[in-house]
Amino acid sequence: MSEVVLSVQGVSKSFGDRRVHDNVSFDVRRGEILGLMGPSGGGKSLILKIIIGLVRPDSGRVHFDREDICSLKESDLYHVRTRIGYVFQSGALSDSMTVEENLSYPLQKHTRKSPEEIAQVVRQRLRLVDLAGTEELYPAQLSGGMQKRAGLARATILDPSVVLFDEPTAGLDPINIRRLVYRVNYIRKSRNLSGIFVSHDFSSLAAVSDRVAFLWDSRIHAIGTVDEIRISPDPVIQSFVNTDYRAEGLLNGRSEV
Amino acid sequence: MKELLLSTAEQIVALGAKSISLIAVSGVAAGAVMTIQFGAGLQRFGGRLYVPEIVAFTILREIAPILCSLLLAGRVGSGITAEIASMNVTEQIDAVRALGTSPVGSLVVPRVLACVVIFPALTLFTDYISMASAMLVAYMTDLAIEPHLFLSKTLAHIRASDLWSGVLKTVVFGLYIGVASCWRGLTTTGGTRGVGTSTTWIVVHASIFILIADFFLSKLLIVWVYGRV
Repeated sequence: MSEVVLSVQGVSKSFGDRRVHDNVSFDVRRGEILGLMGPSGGGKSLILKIIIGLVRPDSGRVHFDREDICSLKESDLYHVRTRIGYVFQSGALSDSMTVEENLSYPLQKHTRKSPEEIAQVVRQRLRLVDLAGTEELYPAQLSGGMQKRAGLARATILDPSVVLFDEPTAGLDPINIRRLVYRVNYIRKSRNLSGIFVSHDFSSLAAVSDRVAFLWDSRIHAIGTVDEIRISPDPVIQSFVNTDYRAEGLLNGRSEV
Repeated sequence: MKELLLSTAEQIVALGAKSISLIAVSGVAAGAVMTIQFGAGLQRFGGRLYVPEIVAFTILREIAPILCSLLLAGRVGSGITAEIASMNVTEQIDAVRALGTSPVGSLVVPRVLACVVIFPALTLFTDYISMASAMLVAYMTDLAIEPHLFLSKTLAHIRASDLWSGVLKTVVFGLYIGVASCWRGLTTTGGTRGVGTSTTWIVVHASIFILIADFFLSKLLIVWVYGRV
């Protein structure tokens, strides 16, 4: 079994009276993508922000490459974050920068590459996500799917060992979902990436992940391989895995949600 | 360092250069109005020839610094807050942090430095444009003060300290507005509604700060320059 590269142990987080995470624990092994599924507003994105140190948990530990992220100061986290890529749900590209500038930014900050070398890397990474020729465009000039792929290229441009995908398929049409899933798998295999892929869409999750964790009611309700989760008899899990609304009679109002 | 200077220069152009037309119009109006008001008042007592030095004294020490700072608080302060708050609610600030960089170094410092440069620079510009406007109005209205007389009387009575004490105050205003507008932007929550609330907040608070701080800074500078209140 591969070594654990990322470990979340007993993480709890509340906002006022609302408990979002209650003793959440899971591991990610080297070379593995862990799918994280759960309801909207269930704290899936929040756990990614806790992992990268953008949000501090109330209790619990996050270990990445044997470093306890929760005990690091903000200034020490900057170095750790260069080894963890983060693909934001919206892409989160800087509005005031072109696509090329967005991708160049981490290289300018963290490498000693010359401007020519940076431009070359950026062009190569844009080709990798089917965005060749968009260098001079601003994020507002890109479609939602293109913004997410540009976000993917930016998150992986420093060759991190772990990438956190925060609902990258949300709001995309099936063609763009396929395109994104293909690119994620391609990058993952070519660079032996580990990571967490957050989504409430089981089909895209299953296409990318080795194992799936199901976050429900503030806890990890179930964790297993894609097939184990798919055939789980648990009705809560089935309500996410099996989304044949027609078969359920929802279209005719025959049954309630 | 080179990168910081470049970002600061970009901000100076983005925030300062684009404010010049607003500052110019306001400066012309202020100089003109001050001249006709002081002219009308002093003419009653036969003090028409005191208009140049009184107008200059008022413009350099108070009107130009305060007018310019209040206008910039509205334009620059709200601009910075709106930009950073928008970045915050769309996760762009989180993205900057997730890429292993500090939003303070890349966003806050260049904007604060730009404010510290823009405020005094545009105050000097307001001083110049207001005085030119005052001189023109003093000549063209029934005050009929010749430009060379206006200039010689102004230069004879105005000291360098009158100029720099006004400009010095705006360095403090610029520093406050730069820091406060960035801080407010970085702490904005609540989506687009939060952006609107933060933008209004900075304009109101910056204006109040300028008006209150002006009293204390004026008193401090008068004690420092003249040795008395």
